[in-house]
Amino acid sequence: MAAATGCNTWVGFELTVAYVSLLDMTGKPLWNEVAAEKIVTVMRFFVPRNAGPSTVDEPTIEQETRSKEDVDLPWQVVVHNDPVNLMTYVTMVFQRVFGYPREKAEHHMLEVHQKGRSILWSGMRERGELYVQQLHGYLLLATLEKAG
Amino acid sequence: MCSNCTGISCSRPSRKRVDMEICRRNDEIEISELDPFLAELLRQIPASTDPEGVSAAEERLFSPPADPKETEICAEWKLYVNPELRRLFQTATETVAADLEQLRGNEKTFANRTLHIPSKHAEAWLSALNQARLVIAAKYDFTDGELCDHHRSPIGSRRDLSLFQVNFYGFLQEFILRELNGWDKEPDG
Repeated sequence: MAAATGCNTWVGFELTVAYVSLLDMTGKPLWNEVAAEKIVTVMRFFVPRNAGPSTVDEPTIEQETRSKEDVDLPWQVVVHNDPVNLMTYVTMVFQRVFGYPREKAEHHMLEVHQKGRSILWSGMRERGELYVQQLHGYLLLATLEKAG
Repeated sequence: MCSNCTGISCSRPSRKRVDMEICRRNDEIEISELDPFLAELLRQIPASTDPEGVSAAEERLFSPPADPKETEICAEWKLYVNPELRRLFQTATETVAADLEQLRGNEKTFANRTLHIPSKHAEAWLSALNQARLVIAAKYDFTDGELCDHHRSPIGSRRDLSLFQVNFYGFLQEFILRELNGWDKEPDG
């Protein structure tokens, strides 16, 4: 990822006016987070320990719910390092696509820059595909991967 | 130069104080005092977005959405998403090309030309500039070291000129990003 341009980083040009920080951008998420739908019910039967046959209670039925996102979890959106895209541009894209605040977007951008990749999101495959499509629309190198 | 303008001088010898001025005026970006060389680079933006059959450039613009082993996702992507992305990129390039019509003419008249970029076209410019930078970088397979070398003179080889082009377009991107951020604010001065 290319270094952010400042007054003296673009040596090919002489900028005669002080450069203003580009990091004040705000972005709006393209999707609002939707409340996770409760879809799974897991039933567990509990039998009290040390209980003789005559004292066995009726089985307790405990309901445990997991969100839809949890059930279909094994996908994550990964953005990969790219020596051409500008750091400020990548930060802006993360803010816009994921609705992340600037600090979080910068954190992911730096992770991409320093570690070569960053996991931006995980959840259902369908939504992950939409995020990757948006990221490709902004010309970032992004892939959908199975978690773990 | 107004207080909110940024003046640009190329590193090559120039008798002019600046080779280009760029600033925001109301709801548009204004590029004036255009040096013919920089004006020509601007005019080359739309053409530079074309991968021209260079597979590395084509692959960079339309990168795979997943590991190639995920054959189903990759196949569907090629079929349904890539055509949509192609249209998106094409629309942006056409918007920029239409704006650049303001620079139509021969070199002698460039000096007095001013390019106005409406704020509503800023996104298209960001996209087209990014397309052009990625395509050029892929065509010439620039190394990380080269991409960080902003000292290199554009006068040397076609490769050096292309590297300068990538950096110049990057500068424009940075300026537009800055202005997108501050569009709601009044410019200084």
